[in-house]
Order: sequence, then structure tokens, then C-alpha cells
Amino acid sequence: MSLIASWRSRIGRVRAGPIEALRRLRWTRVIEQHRDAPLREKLRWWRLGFRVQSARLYGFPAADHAEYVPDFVVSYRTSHLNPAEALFDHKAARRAMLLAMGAAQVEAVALLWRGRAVLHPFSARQTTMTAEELERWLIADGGEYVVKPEGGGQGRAVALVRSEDGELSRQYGTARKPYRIAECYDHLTLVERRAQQADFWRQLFPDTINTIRLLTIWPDGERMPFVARATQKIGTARSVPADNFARGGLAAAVDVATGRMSAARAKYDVTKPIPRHPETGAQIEGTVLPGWHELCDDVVRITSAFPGDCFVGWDVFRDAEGRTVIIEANGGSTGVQILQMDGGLLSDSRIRRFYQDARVL
Amino acid sequence: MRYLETLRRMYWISRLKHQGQASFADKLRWWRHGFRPSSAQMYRFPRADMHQYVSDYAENYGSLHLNPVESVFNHKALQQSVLQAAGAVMPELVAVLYGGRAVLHPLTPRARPVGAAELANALVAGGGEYIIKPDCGGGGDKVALLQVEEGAVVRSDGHDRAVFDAEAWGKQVMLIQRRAEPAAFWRDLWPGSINTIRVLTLWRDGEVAPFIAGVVQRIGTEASLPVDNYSRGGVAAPVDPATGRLAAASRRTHRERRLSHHPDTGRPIEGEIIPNWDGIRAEVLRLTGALPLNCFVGWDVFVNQEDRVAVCEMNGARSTVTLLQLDRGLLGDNRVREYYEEQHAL
Repeated sequence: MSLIASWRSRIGRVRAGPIEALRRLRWTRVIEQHRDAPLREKLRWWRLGFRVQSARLYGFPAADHAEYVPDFVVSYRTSHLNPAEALFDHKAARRAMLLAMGAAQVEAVALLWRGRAVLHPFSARQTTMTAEELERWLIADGGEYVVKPEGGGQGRAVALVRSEDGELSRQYGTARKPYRIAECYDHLTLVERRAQQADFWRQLFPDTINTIRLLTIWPDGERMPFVARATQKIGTARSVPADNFARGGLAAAVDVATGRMSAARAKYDVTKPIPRHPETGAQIEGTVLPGWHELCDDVVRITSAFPGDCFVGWDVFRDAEGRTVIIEANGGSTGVQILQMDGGLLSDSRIRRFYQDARVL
Repeated sequence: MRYLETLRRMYWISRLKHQGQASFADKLRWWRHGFRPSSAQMYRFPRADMHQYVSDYAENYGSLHLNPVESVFNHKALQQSVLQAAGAVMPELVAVLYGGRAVLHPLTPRARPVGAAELANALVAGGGEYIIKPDCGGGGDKVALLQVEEGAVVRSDGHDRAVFDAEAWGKQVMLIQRRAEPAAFWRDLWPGSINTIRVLTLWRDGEVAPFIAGVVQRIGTEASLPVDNYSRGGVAAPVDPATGRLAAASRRTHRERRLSHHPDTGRPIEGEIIPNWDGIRAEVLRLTGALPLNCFVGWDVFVNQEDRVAVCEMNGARSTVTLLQLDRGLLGDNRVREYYEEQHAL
């Protein structure tokens, strides 16, 4: 190991004193800025490792901050919760792994990189073609597609693309404009066919696939993983085509034991509970997710198919045929903010023990 | 700036492993050009033109961006999934171990978590031989042979043998594969290992099809058991990509010498032609074309007893090109040189 790498490793292990203070100072510079928060409030929560938005979402100081996993810990200390974090960084490769395990997936139409594409990847029908040929194929097919970067997160750069009047158009939020496949030349890009969700979720908000974030944890030495927390994400006009909280979608905590949703929250006012969808009027608070226990069983079965999946945030939905479909798997450094809306993760002794065993807290 | 770059290059090269035996003057001479003295000996510099060779510096520090998703090549479990989806033949993945637990038949709908004792029972019941290897690793490191003997699973690494303990692996993901048997030609070369062919494929931006840049046949020896890796003592023979003809082999311990016959079995190597070479070449190109992110891949393939081309693993931009340059530099081929230049990897 080189001298520099050795020093970096040593510094990485220091969790106190001026080095830790400097690390936290650096963290405050990279986290989301809150112009409406007074400096005093920022300092109060930053000191404890929480963003102001998180502190407000969790209802601090009324709630006990010791029961919550701080944002700082998620940013700096959770990347080793899984032995192979790279398995979560790339959607296409992970898709192949899930397919092999027998998990239902949204149909992958193409995978693109630097002017070439593979149509129907991960199937016996795969064909290699140029990006221009793929564009013509998509126009002729006439469907709706979700185009997303292979290694992105939080719905960034995800676009809904339609074939209309002999050309492709793209919807991002409420805006529409012509779309050319050449736009993603330098990004490894996945084109998926837009999925159809089950009636219950379509009625919540029909313009996005409304996914459930399920956190599964598999402590060392235990035979099976368990579902630690769940949150129903619901799209809004602002978040189309994704349902992400960070892009303006809603998030409602789900009681793991019963599948019952609490009132939702939105990023623009995290303190305000939203019992009904502001655009569709669909009831959120108190509603029980249909087929909840089957959905949990499906996710636990998939988690238990690979022993290295210790801490996974699964994004899943129930499709029109009633199958549990995995959209993606997020690893250790995935945000836990929307999973702590109805109580800190650390209030559950099994979760606290997992974090303690992993030397994260 | 040029001098600064030369100094930087010399510093990095001097820190690489496997420098070989050389005087300090020779070391300085080759480090300055980005080569380890051991590579320079293997390539028979200065007799060969060094400008036709990809240097160790370019290989280790200039090539890391050649694939957009390098992690696919770093994790064998991911590779197994991607290749299975592409219809590749691979050795059966029997179990994956991590943190004192195991999953039998992983990456299949039959996947089932089991404890250490149940895993051992399943291996005994399955019979035969298995290979255990880390999910993330290379050079044959930590690869061992598992054999069922008198109702117990015995782990062999070279000539070291011990009862296999699944719980001993702890915090490293390990894969257990059923040991594959190669077709007769490769078994005759050396029966103790699978004797894989390393095929380097490159895929230039904007082109629809990849091409083969270099091929080398790896053959195990007594020293490399149970694998065929050159770094563990195996021999490597360059292969003519057009005809499948083997040239004389090289061995790490005698880099400048070439071996026309296997050092242990005495079987001829030089001049032999790989059976069904066109079929092997076509299958490797088909698998490369299955994913557009396969820009720079070192494929380890073999032909199994059913005469089907099977994949052992795929290696990314960190896959060594040293072995592929035994007889001639990769940059002697214009397409390969253009590829490296387009990617600013030289």
C-alpha cells in the first residue's frame, strides 16, 4: 500500500477530535442548503449529524434524535454495510443478477453506450445495432419507454420517452420536448418499456410507477433476512416520470406488520402531513396496501438468494398481473430519510444491533 | 512537464510487484519507458521494438477508464448473472458463502440459505470436485480445490490439504463452483487444471461489432495446481488468432526461454492447433456483443467435455495484457493501436 493510501486509511478510521470535526464541517458544505433555516437551527442539527430537512421531517426536538440514523453516518460510514457495494451501483448488471434469481423485472428494451446498442439485452433475442437503428426501432414500435442512466440515483436524468408522430418525445416533469437517442452517447443508458402497475397504485397517481421502498437487513450469523422498514412512494405532477421524494414525490410510511400507510409527506413542506393525494384525491392515510404480506415474502425470498445482500433498499411495485416487480436494489449508502418518517430506525433493537455490529454508530 | 511525467511513471512502475531480477541500471532503463524489467525480459527487449508493446504503466494506470462499468469484471457473481442471461455455458455455481452463512444454488429460482453443516452435507451429497474462489479477486489468489473424501469435504491448495470449514471465510464473499472438465486436447496438455484460453476482445466506439486483439493458451503445471495462472507457475503459449496455432510457451521462472513442450507432461505445445478454433472465436465475439459495455475484456474460456465453449470468467481493463504480448506487441496491430489512441490510454 502506498504511503498516501496508508495515511488515508488511518485518517478514515479516526472518529473523534479535530479530524472528525473537519470531516463534519466538510459534510455541511456538501449537503442540501436550506435558505429558510436560521443558522442557529442549522448548527443545532448539523452538530448531531442531521440535515435541517431531516430534523424537521423527524419532528425534532420532540422526537428523540438518538433513535435516528444521522445523515452524516449515511454519507460517510455505511458504504461497507454490504461486502460488495458495487453490486448496487449499476442497474443493468444487477438486473441480470435478479433475473437469474427468478425475480420479475420491467422489460429491458435496450442498453446503449457510445453509439451502439444491444436490443433486448439479457435475453435470447439480443441483437447489436447502432444508436440510430435503435431510434428507428423505438419509433416503429410505438411504445412508451423509461430511459435512465445505468448508474444514477434519486430519479436523476430519468426520462419518459414516447413514440409520437414518427419521432420520439421526452417528458421530464411537466415539460415535453423532442428526444434523440444520441443525447445519451456518453452515458451507459438503459431503455425500459414503461410498466403497468396494479389498479390500487394506479389510482394513487396514474402517471408514475408508485414504488415501495423496502429495507431488508440480514445480520451476520442469522439464517434469514427480515424486512426492517417500508415506505410507499407516490408520484406527483412535479416528479413525473419518477416517484422520488427528492424530485417532488410523496412518501408515506408503511407499517411492516400490517401494510397500513401513514399520512404522506412531501419535500417542499416536510412537517405537513398529507392524508390524501393533492392531485388525485386518493386516500393515503390509513389505507392498507393490498397483498402486503405476499409482497414482503417475495422480497425476502429474493434477498435470501445472495448472502452478500446484508442491507438493501429495494424499490418494488405490484404490476397489473399481480407480480412483485423489482425496479432496483440500493445498497448501504442509500438514503434512509424516508424510512424514518414514522420513527427512527434505531428504536428497533434488531436494527440498532445490526448498525452496532457493523461499527457504523 | 515531460520530465515530470517520466519521473511519475518511474515511481509508479517501481512500486509494481513482480519486477524480476535486474541490475539497478536496467531497472532505470525500463522504468523510464514504463516497463517492468520482468516484462522487458519477457518481450526480449531491446531485440523487439518496444513501441509496439503496451507498457505496464499504460496497462496499470492508463487503462482503468476503458470499460464504463468496471465492477462487472471485478465481481464474479455479477459476471455469472450477465453471462447466464447471454446464454453462455459456465461451470455450475453451487453455493455462495458470506459471513458464516451460505446460499445453495444461488442466482437461480432454487436459491436457499443454509448453515455451514448443511452446505457441507450438500457438497458431499453432490459428490465430485469443486473450486472455491473469491467473488472479487484475480491471479488465482485464494482459489482452492474442494474434494469429497470419505464423507468429508477436503480443501486442497497446491499440496496443502485441510478439512473445509465454511465458517472460516467470514467477511469475504466466496463462490463454490462445480469443477469443470476440459475436452481431451486440453486434458492431454496437463490434466491437473482446466487450461483456459485468454482471449482479449476490444470494441471501438461507434462500431457495431467487437474484434479479437490477442489470444494466449494458459496451461497448468505441478507448481500452479489447481489453477493454470501464469502468476502461480503455469505456462502460457501465444495463439495465432487467425489459425489457432500455438507458439512456444513462456514460464514466469524463465521469462526469456521458450518451451516447445510442457515442462511436466512433455506434451508438444509449439505448432499444435486448437480444435474448433473458429467456433471458439465466434462464441467469444457473440458473448462480447451481448453487452455494449464490453469494451475491453479478457475472456478466460475453455472447451468442456461436451465440446461446448464455456466461460470461466471475464476480466476487465485490469486484465493483464503482458501474456498477450509474448510473441509480438499488441500495438503492432493497427486496429489495436487506434483503439488505445482513441481512448487516450497510451
